[in-house]
Amino acid sequence: MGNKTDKLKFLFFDRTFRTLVLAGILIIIMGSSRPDNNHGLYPNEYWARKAGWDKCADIVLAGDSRVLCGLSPEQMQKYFPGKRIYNYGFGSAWFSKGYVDKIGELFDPNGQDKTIILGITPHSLLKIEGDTGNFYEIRSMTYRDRFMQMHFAGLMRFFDPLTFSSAIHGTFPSLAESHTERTFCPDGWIAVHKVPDSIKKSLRNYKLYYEAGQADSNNIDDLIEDIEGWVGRDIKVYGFLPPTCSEMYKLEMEMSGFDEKDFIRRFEGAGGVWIYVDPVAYHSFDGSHLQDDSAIELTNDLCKKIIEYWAMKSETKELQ
Amino acid sequence: MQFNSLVFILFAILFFIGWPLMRRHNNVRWIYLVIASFIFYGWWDWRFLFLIAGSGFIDYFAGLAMEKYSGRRKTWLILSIIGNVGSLCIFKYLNFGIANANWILSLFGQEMQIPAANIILPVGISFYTFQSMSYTIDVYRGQLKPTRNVFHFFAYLALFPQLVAGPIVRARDLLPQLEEAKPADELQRWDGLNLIAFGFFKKVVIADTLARAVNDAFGAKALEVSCAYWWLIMVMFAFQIYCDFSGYTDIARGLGKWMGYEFPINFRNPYISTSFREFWQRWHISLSTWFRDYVYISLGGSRKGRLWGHINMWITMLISGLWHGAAWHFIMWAAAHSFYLSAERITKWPERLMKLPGGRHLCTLAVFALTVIAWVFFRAQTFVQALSVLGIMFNFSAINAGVVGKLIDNNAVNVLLLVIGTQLIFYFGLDKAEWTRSKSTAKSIFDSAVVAATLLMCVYLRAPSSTFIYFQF
Repeated sequence: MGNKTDKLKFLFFDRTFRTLVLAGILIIIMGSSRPDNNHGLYPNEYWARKAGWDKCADIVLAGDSRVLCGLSPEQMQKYFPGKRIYNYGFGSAWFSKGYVDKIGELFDPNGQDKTIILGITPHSLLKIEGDTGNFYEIRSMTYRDRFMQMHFAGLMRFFDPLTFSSAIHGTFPSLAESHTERTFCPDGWIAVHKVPDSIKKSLRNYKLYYEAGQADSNNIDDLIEDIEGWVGRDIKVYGFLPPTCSEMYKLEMEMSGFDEKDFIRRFEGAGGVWIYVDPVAYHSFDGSHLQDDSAIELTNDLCKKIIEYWAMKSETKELQ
Repeated sequence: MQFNSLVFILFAILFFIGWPLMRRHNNVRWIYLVIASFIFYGWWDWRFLFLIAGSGFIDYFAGLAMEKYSGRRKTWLILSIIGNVGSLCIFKYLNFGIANANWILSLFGQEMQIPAANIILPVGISFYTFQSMSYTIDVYRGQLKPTRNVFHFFAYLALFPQLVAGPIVRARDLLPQLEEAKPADELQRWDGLNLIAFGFFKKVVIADTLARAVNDAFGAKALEVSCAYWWLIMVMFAFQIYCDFSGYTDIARGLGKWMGYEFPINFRNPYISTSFREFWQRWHISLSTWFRDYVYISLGGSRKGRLWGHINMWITMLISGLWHGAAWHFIMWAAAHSFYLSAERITKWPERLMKLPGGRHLCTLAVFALTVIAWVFFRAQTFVQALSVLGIMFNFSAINAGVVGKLIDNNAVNVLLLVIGTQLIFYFGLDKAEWTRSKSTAKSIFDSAVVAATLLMCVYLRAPSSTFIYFQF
């Protein structure tokens, strides 16, 4: 009996034991009620899966973060039923050789009607040295890390670090200047809902980007060559300018060195189909990326225009 | 394996589960320690084990030979030093020597270049080589009786908590401790937990957060031209390296306490020093005392007069600079500190300044500012970069506060303020206030809550992990 009491005393009065138990409880509470939780897949699981995609797609959506947040493959499937559609957009993506090659490798060799939909932003055509951007960060993930993130995603997320601001703002939402909800979809789309809008920071950053560099003619030449290559391999290539807010559109057209008309002419010359979408008719929450409901609208509009294009083309054929 | 990794946490849990059973018999305990330590070290690269084993066997047999052939003690000591310094020269300094030889050849118009050797630098080689050398030197000086048990010796040499980044523990302090198997008492367990929790906090929350801002600044293609920015970056680096290194030794000391062993204190808040002499009594104490006892005093110290005292101090400091890394900017860092120490000895400026009102604060600020300037040489990637950074730091017309705003956007400034605040607590002696010594239940519960919250922050407020800076040495 005395022995049992001693043990109980030890459990309660031993500072080390008591502290470790308390720390364990706090960690469990914090990990299971993280103030920065997202929807859909765990973020790292999302990226690990995306890094592992290979020979699986019929339709690939490619480009930078405006494509990543702007097009929903699930919504697109309503227009193209039965097609396996993946959003292969990455933050700060540019059309480097590595990225372009990987887009080509995503298609199932036995699939039909292979299609690439490219979102071309002036930023994705800047001269960038080295293999930078999210695409390369993800590709540099080791096999072990990818395995852990895919198969132990919950556990890894449980122990993922927080930032001071996300911890405080998540716990006391009223202190936060803005609220952001992200949904990491298995098809590659990241749906973002942020309130209120705040576009100043993006405008300031993009101004700096374009002061430092311009849309690069070598990058454009390489991309046009890649499009010719894809078309030559019987892959349909569509292009569009991902919409943003009017201030950003104006800034990009004035400062980026991107000649939209000339680019479209060359794109179509290479065998691609340019889809015109209103560049400022959608809702951007940060001056660059689209709000989730606007991304659905854009996806709908883009699909309708592609279907219209084919309807028009078949009518023309019949008339001939 | 690194302390700040999941694999180490699993390793430590398994080790401490087995420790109460394994520690009871000498041979079992030593073999258990050697196996665990070799797994810990071999996790980086199993080939490193040959080096530590080779270095260890040299000193183990040298110690035995000194006892058996006492007439030739000096020969055995020299052989041991050649073996240890030789392996350091090959693995750490060979490519530095080749690069300098090539530079000299090019000065004489020789186009022939000696190719660099394809050698990897084993983690922590400088630490365990010095620890191993202290064994033979202590045996030579008659301050230690050599151990006959090879496992006892390797348990000392390879003991995993302090193997790769110190503190450098003398054989005469640790070998006798390893002969005992006392379980850690309540105070040791609690102190150990405190050291581990705050050690991890220093590393993963403070040092790693500051590291991002510092690495961005030094890694930029073009250096930011703002004096305010670079002063802020260098103050960040001063605290980054302090928290990184002292965090590691705190964790090592904490793990040691959990095993029932005591390792020496390695840092005593060095940035609150009022002189450089005091700074070196507070910074990396185990290395400073190693150099003092085995190099400075062996050279004659200040016994031959003041001038020789200065010369021996410069030699000792420059070797210490080279110990930190095979590059000229490390030597320059050591030269800067040698200059500070010499100037201090000659002018006695801290003693004079201390007599003025507010003199203590002025001395602390001056020592800190000069230390920060010397850190530029330590952190810069090249000597040329160090000069460029110093040029910007002293170009007071290029303040450009806007660039500083870039730093304020990230967590680094919050963390810097936190660590400076903590240093002020020690500076003003608030850590010695009466309430901190209270043994009341309320205080005990408060302490538990603080340490538990610290562990929580280590998990959730940690910055992306990076290796400990001192591993490269």
